[in-house]
Amino acid sequence: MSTDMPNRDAPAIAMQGITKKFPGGVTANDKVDFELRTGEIHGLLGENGAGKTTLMNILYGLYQPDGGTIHVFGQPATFRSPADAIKMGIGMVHQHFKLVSDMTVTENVILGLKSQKGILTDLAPAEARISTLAEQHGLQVDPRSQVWQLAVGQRQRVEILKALYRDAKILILDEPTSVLAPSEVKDFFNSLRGLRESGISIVLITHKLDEVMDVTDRVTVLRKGRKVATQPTSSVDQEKLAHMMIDEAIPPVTDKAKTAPQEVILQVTKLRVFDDRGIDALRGASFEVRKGEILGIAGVSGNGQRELVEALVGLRKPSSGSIAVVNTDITGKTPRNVIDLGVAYVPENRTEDASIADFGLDENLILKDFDRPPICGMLASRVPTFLNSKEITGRAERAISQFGIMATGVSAKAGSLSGGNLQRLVLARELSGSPKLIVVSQPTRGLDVAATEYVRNLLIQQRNRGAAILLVDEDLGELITLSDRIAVMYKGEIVGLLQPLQFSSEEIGLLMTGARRLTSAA
Amino acid sequence: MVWFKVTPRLEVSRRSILIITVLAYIVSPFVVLAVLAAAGRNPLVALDALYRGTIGTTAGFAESIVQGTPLMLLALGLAIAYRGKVWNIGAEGQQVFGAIMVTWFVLLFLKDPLPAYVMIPVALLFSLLGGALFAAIPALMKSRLGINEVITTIMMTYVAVQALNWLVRGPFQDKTIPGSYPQSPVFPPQTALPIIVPNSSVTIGIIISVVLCFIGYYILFKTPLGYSIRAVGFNPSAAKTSGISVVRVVNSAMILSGALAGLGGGVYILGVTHSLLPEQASGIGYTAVVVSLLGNLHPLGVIFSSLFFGGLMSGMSSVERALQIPRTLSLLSQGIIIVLILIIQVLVRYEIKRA
Repeated sequence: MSTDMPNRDAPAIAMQGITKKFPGGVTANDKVDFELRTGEIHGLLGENGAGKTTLMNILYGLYQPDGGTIHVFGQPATFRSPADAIKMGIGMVHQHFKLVSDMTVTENVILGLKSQKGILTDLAPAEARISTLAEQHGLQVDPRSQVWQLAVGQRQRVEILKALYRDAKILILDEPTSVLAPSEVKDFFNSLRGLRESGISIVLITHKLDEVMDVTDRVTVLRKGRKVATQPTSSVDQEKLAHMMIDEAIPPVTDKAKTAPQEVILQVTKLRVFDDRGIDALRGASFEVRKGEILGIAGVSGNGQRELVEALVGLRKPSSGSIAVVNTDITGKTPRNVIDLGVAYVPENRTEDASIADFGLDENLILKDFDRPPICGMLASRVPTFLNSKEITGRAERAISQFGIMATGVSAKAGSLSGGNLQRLVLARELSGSPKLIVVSQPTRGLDVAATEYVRNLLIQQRNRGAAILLVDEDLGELITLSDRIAVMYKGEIVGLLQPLQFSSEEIGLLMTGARRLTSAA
Repeated sequence: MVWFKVTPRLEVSRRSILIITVLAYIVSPFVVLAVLAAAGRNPLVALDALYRGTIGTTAGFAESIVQGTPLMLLALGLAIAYRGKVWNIGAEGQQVFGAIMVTWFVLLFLKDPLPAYVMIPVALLFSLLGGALFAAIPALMKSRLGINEVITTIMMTYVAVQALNWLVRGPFQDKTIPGSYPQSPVFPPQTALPIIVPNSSVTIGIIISVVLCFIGYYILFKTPLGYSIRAVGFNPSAAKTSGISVVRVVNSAMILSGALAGLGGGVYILGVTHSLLPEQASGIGYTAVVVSLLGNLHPLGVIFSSLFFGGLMSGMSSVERALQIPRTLSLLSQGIIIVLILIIQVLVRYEIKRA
């Protein structure tokens, strides 16, 4: 192990001039310097898409940098894979856990390690060592439990134990609190402090300011792939951090004219929906969205928003309750039925659910009406015949100019587009044909300032045109700017329905965390 | 120690893929000569035999086409299914069942056959429906019950092959021949596919196959059905979100590939053997998997890859005869060629640099 004789004077990690470019011209890291001192908790702060995770993935050997150097405890290092990084004493806990759910904690921890008994697994000593490590660092978990039986917070401990078991001296934690309940966060931070006491150096990737203030010793702020500054946490406050992180103030959205209450487009009544595990994720939600209105849905992710959205667009069958679009019941209908009623959907995951990376722009734009005129010729106006390539190309050209999509041509692959351009492509498809209802989830996540502003203005335009919009968003600032009303979700229920005058981050924050509940809520 | 670095190319031009693929096809047979030389045979004699067995003589050329024809239809169907990530491994069973259906139909009219212009189209239709029907079973098992189609199509192949073995020794057996040969009665001439090259067994089957490859190309790239197959293959989640019924697309892709496989079996029995034999299950359905991949899962690519493979089979049996080499050595050589071409097709997409 190269960390046997660490140079105590050298920082645990010194990254210099790290540059990483991705296909499609995105520079995720631009000459970033980063230093982690031995035995500190170092916050790595930035908005979504600022390059935090990329920088740490480079440190963990998942990506190879296009430029720059890395020193670990004073020794130069190049990582071709995580295996190299692990050898140097670096461990990483990803936002999405890499655990095998049908295996026990012990089996997960020793997965990939050589056994003392050759081809046979040697569980007993491993189990003992895991128990000791767990005890020592306050990471209680039963080594014999199978992972699927564990709560999220416990799974996170398993991930940390996995790193410690491999003698990690440096821990990288990617947004570790995003999966935790507020009460668990406190315990988790205490564990981190304990790890720091035992000499482990920790990088905490986050975009939450209060966490940085709470637990870190120093903080490095990234913005758009560049380093803004590294400061001792004691010398900054939340306001200052926010300023470093965001810099440009959110431009005021144009034309958000007052609209009088109009007819109900979407009526949701006592809707209950299961999640993938068959557990009630949405527990009796009722609300309506009116013509020319944006209803914002606030909430910590994982409180039923995803299930709500999927039920609305026909991807998930509700277990009870009803959904009606313009007085037509669509409960349990297929996505096709829902689309035909004039419902557009801009999903949270643009690459997975909204576009086909291997298809060109032109082909992506016809995803919803490829089998009907004018895109498809019809025999006796019933039987689809051939795709009309002229029509398809024409549509793509119009979309490129109208939505300002930067691409090499109409048949450029969607996979080659940057996040902002991909979102423009998705919007171009979804907003065509003047939909009555638009279901939007995290519309500006990972987008740059220009694209963000564009998307926001587009949503306002659609609202002013008379579309009903349901906006699910974790960006509170955006939600407050765009919404006409805000519904707050907590544990599958709507715990508050706020009118514009009631909008405040504090109020919404209290509702989101379950600290308050408005009785007037439906 | 890593001596070179392999990174994906950001842009792969269609032209470079085409040029490299064609080069791979041309160069790879010469590797076989090296293998034969290593085995102590005269590579020049082998080269001459290879030439005569493929493009050097009319007989060799004809044989290449005859071998390549059913392969083309099977591989075309598989290319369409694989574009939708529907992993049909059972083209063998589907073509066998197609041939069984043809035999059933022909035996009904064994004594008084209708004219050829009725017998042939109807017989081909039977083979098509047979293959489609046989593929519909794994398709439904996948779409309704979620059972992996790789397993079911392979298992269904055993069913078809055993059915074939039983039929040629039982209900379909020709009882008029003394001794009990496992084969059906020889089909009447009204069912034989017309020959288009005199003094050979090249039939209109090749024309049907090539035309269907072009139709397959149009279906895959110019119709809504093909579009939905490709969309589901690339990203089923996005397809579903956009209102495409993934179940229906998977069923269509599987049934379409089964129909083409069945037709391949029909073309073979009506064009080559004119009788149902146990050898109908020659393993061609598995070869077709490779051929579809060699053709880049492209209907027009399949035309070339299947003719190449037909040539390879014909050419190598000519080499076998000329050099008196064992069949295994010839099969080994064919294997090397396939692996070489497949590796090259993948490597085109990458850049190899010294580390």
